[in-house]
Amino acid sequence: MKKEKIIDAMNDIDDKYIQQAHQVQNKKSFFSFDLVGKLAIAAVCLALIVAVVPSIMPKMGSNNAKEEYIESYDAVADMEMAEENGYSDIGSGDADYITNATDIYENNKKLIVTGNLAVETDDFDNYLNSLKNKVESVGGYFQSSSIDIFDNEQRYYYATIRIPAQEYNNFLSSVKENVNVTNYNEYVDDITDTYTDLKARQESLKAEENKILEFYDQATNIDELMEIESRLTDIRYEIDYLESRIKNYDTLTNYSTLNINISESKVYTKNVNFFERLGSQFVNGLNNFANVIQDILLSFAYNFLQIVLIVIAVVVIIKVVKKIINK
Amino acid sequence: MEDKDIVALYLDRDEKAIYETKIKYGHYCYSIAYNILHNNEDSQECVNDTYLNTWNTIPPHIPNVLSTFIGKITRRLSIDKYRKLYADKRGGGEYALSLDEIGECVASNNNTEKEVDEKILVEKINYFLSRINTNERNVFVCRYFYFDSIEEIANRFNYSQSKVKMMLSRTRDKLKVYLEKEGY
Repeated sequence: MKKEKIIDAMNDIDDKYIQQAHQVQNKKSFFSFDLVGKLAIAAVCLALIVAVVPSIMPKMGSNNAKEEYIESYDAVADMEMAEENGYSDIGSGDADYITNATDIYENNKKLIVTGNLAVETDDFDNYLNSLKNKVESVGGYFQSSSIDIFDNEQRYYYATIRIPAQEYNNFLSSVKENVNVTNYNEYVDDITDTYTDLKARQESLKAEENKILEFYDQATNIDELMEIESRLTDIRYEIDYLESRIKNYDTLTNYSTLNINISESKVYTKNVNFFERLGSQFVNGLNNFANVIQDILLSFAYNFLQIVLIVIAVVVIIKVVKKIINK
Repeated sequence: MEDKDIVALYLDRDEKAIYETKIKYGHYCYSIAYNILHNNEDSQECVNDTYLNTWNTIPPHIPNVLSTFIGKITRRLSIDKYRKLYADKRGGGEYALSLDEIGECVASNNNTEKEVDEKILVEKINYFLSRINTNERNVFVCRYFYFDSIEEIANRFNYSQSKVKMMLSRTRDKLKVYLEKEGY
């Protein structure tokens, strides 16, 4: 396959991935300004220190990185954008926070639900059989599936399953029983507005078609007839196009999609002895330690300006207090 | 102006639609084109072609997200122009670098011109993107959809350039393994 094919294929990836990346592009970081901009920002920050230090100081004690992120403007903007676009990105391991697909379905919203589930099990064959039975029992089907066996070690199973939307929630709960869930995330595309717009547009076009047919009967010459025919053709083409889009959305919303990845957690020890596993774990540990140090240094660099400003503020305050005491 | 209002102007065949598109997305389209072509005149030409393409496509097509719809048109036009300009020889810029990088994802033992169903490849890539974490995906899309430079990506994400290179390299490795497993 030519590499250009992948570049071309990237042009048709889901809009939501392009939007997410574009949101990050739109965020201006301090380091993207030129030198004059940086100096101007530094000057403004220094001028504001005296006024805002009391509100900054308590945040030093906060060790909860997630709370600090939520308090920042960018995080709020992300959440607002996500809600506006109907995205619900649930983090890994957050297994209990699941969008209730059944309730949403009953509220007549048009939602395309796609879940990605990764589990591990030490009873691979039985779990796989029960999965197939569960899919059949709820009226779902397998869109694709594959199985990999790596060097007589773990087996991996991948499948894309379509489940009737109203059954999705219960099905998801059942496939998570008696296994270790290592990751779950879910995307919910709310296309209600788009769907409603398509329907409204189609109705409007049908009304226009009926009106034009009245003119058709009243046309007196061939030129008028040709013009009306041409417009009728355009309208009917658009009505058919909208109909196919509406049917496509119906298909996407009537069935939810679950991409499931099952890994066998028990490793066959036939070819892997204890010392090889020990060595492998040691190397993994070193890599992990290096990543932790890297993250700490990056975090320090990211917060460097705040730390400097706070240190300056503390020094200024101490000097002022000393002066007052000496007086 | 809101996107849905701009789309409504297109549907009403009101030429103000192009003006509003230019105001809201002109710079966005230009940056996509320039990342690929690295030439002001060619980039501007692609942006103008984008407006024309958009005018001719809406209707009957009604985009869900106008910005990505327009961005995709600009990207496609810019890549086509790049290929015409440079044909068999290698042009410069981030597009050429990105193309070399993504070449790592193509199996090295694949010497035959295997027929690739583009729709299925897009599905595979979408599935792959859904499986990786958000930061990796955003970096990957910034590099191989928008053709942002490593430096720009590092600034946007507040990463070092070496971290960006490492993330991209890992993601490409994962993509290669996945595509090989799928028979590409």
